[in-house]
This record gives sequence, structure tokens and C-alpha cells, in this order.
Amino acid sequence: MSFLSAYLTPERIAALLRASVILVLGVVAARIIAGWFGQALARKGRPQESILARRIVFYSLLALVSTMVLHELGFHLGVLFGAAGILTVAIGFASQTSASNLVSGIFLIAERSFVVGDTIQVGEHTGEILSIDLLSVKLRTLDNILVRVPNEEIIKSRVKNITHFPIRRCDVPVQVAIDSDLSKARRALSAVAARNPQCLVDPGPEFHVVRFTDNGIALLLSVWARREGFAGFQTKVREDLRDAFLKEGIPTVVPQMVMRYEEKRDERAAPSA
Amino acid sequence: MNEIVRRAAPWWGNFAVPESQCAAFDVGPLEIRALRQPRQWVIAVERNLALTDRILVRIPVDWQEPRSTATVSRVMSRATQETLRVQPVLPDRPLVVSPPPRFAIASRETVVLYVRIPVWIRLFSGDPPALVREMPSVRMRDTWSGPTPKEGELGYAGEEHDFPSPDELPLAPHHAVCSVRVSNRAPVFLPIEEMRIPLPQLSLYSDSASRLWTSPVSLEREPDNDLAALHVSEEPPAEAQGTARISEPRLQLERSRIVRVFGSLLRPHREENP
Repeated sequence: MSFLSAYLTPERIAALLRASVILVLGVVAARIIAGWFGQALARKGRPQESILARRIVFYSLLALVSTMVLHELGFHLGVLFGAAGILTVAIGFASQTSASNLVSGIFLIAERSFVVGDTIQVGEHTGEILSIDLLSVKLRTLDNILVRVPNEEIIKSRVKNITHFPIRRCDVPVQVAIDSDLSKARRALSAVAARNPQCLVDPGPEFHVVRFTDNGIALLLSVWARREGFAGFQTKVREDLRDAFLKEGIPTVVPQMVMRYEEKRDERAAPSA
Repeated sequence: MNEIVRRAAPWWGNFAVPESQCAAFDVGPLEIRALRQPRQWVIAVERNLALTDRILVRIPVDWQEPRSTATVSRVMSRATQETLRVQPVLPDRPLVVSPPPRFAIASRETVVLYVRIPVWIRLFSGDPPALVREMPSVRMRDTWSGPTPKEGELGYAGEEHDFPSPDELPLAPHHAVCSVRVSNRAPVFLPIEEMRIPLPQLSLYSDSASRLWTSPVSLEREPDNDLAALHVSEEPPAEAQGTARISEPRLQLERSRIVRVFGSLLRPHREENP
């Protein structure tokens, strides 16, 4: 008690009060100012820059407020900054990966290959982008799992942006028997496209003979649709094509391999005369 | 049961639906049943594409359990009100119309092309009216209007037209007529492969015969320019008598109401290989 009463002099209590007020007002002001920056960029239709700007502004202001609070509490900032310099060198050596992610993040944002809300495929993960941060991109996968992909990995790997363009092509590879009537297959594709209002009239359905294989003819049937609801559309088209092929009597084939087993007699074991 | 039957009268407007009763609207291929319950509207919609000439409004009718092919929605509120408003509106995307093959407008000519458009229907309840359901009378096929799959706009594919006069146009109750005036002031003919009508920017009118019309659209190709200027009139079409505006445009056009559209409203024939 005597220690507390000796420490808490009226000057120190006043300094603590000032520091508390600076801290509270500073944090509130930092949130408001960061929000303004974020909203200004969001209005320009740049959601990921908005999130990033909000964070940079908030943490910069928070650092400033912390410095003021420490100063108010009587800390010698010169000594702190000196220590911080040494600490920075140490942290710099220890955080090369983070620095690499940070630089990659800046490139990703500048490149604008994808934005928050797009669905991308990176490595084995496919999902909607929830945020593009300085160190990582966060995805919500189709099975509702959060995946954090480091920016450096994204920069190095091949990224597919599935929702960049408003329309997409749905490809259905099919193998038919070599003696199939291809005009029937064409008719089946046209009929499926005509029945489904989601199949775009223009660009229209495409019919490609890809190659002759060991088992028959490889066809590629394609229709276009808008990107919204594409997964369901794809399933419906595949179902409809299967039904149409069955109805038209077009024989599809699956790869087959014929194995012959020949039994050989063991000549050595043959009875001698 | 007092049944009010309307035939050939406008199928849109305000209708009084008593509580626990059902209203039936058969408009072209669309069969709409709206059941008013104390705290919710139950709306069942079904399409019968074999019947397209029907106009029949019946209130009240017996509510029958919707078939599995119907889409049923329920809209809840504290207490439903008597008024049910039916409003035709234009579709939410442009209409892309394909003229017959090798269609062209002669040089220094002005022609008016009439296009029929299946309207959408909105149901509102109460006062002020609150949207209960919106549905297309016919689900038109999607299409893309643009030079490449990268740039362009989604639209609905219209039927292939040979552009008869409005009297010869086969119209059903769910159709609106859009007049497109094309002026070709150039010394060469203007071939047209595709025409895009910006439906979300047009108003919808009805005439004294309860026929639906859109705002007229005009397009001018200048002699020295391959671009054409699109103009959407705010006046009702001159061909229609005793018109009244029944729905506003979904979107407002750009300030000038004149846009460069040769590449977007009209698509000329693709160059053929010699």
C-alpha cells in the first residue's frame, strides 16, 4: 500500500488519466479515419484495396497513439526506438517468409487478377475469395472450409479465376463408338441446348471431333452459360446429354482392355518316353 | 360465390381479394393463383406453353393444391391487405433480336421495325404496395450480345423476326410491342445481323385497346459514320391511341439519352470470306 501511495502521486494520476483519454480517443479516431479511407475505396468498387487501406491506416494510427501514450506515461522514446532498431534487424532476419509474402501481396493487389468475391482455383483448392491481405489470401472453399493461402504461394503458382468473365463454356467430353452416326450426336446437342433456357443462343453450342482413339471417337460437346449457377447448369447439361444420347441410340464407349491368358505347359515336367 | 370474370379487359390493375380467398390470373401461358391468408400470401405459378391467348381473371376461385410443376412462394406479413396489384413490366435484360438471314436497310431509307416482347408480371399487395412476386411470362433463352465472350452484355434471345406491321404481328396478351425506327442516311445499305433493344431502359404503356407498347426506340446511321446514335423517346409510341404509362423503366439511360451503339444495338453482318 505504501508503495502504491508513494507511486501514485497526483502528477502520475494525472498522466495516467491523460494517457487513458489519448488511448480511448485515439483508438476511436483511428477506427473512424480508417473507415473513411475504406469507404472511399469501396465506393470506387475496389473492395480488396478498401480492406487493406483500412488496416494500414488503422494500425499506423494505432502505432502513433501508442507512442503518444507511452510518452505521456513517462517512457523515454529515444531508448525505445534504439531498442526497436536492433529488434527490427533481428526480426528482419527471422521473418524473411513474411517479408516475401508482404511483397507478393502488394504485387497481387496491384496486378488485380482477382478481387474479393471472385472464385479462384489455386493448387488443390477452389473457393471464393474472402479477403486479400498483405500476407495471405483467404478462401472459402465449396465445402465451406476456410483456407489461408500465403501470397508467395499464389504468386508462384498457376491461379484460375473462374468467375472473371460473365459467361463460361461448359465442356462435356464424350467417347462414342467408331461406327456412331455423328449427325445424331449433333442433333442431340442442339436439342439439349434448345430445351435449356440457360444455354446461350450466342455463342451457340459447339461440336468438336477431337480425335480417334483406340476405343472409338472422342467428341467434345460445349455449351455456354452465364457464370451464376454454373455448377448446377453443368450437371443438368451432362444429365440431359446422357439422356439424349440414350434416346438417339448413340453408343458411348468406356476404355476397355482385353487380356488374354495363355496356359503354357511345363515342358520340363512332361513325362519322358 | 360471386365470381368476377374479365375477358379482353386489361388483366393488370388493382383487384380486391377477400381474406381466405384465391385470385386466379390466366395470362397467356401463365397461370397465377394468389391465395390471401390472414398473415400470408401464397402464390402458385405455372406455365402452359400450349395456351398463349388466354386472358381470364377470376376472383374468388377455389384454391386447389398446386401441382408439382408449379412454383409456390409464400410472403408473410403481420396482416394481409385486400388489394392485390398486378403490373406488367419489361424484362430485366436487353432483348437480342435476330432478323432473317441477309437482312438489310436500304440506303437513305427510314423503316420502322416492330418487335414483340413477352412481359414480366409483378404482384404487389397492400397500400403502399409491397412487391410479393415478380415472374417472366415466358422464360426466354439467355444470350450474349458482344463482339467476344470477354466484352458484351447478357441478354434474352428474341424469336427470329421478319418484322411485320403491328396489325400483322401475332400478339398474345402477355406481349408488348416495341417500335424501332432505323434511319440509314449512308449511301450504302445497312446490313443487320442482330438488334439489341435496351428493355430495362424503356417504359411500358397500354393503349385504349389494352395492348401493351414500349417506349419507341430510334436509331440513326449518319452518312459519314459507321456508328449509330440510339434515342429512346420518353413519349408513348405514335401508333398507339389513348396511351397510359403503366410501368417505369428499370434503369435510367445516360444523361444524353444518345449513345454510340452501332457495335452494341445493331450488329452488322460479319464479313464473309471472298
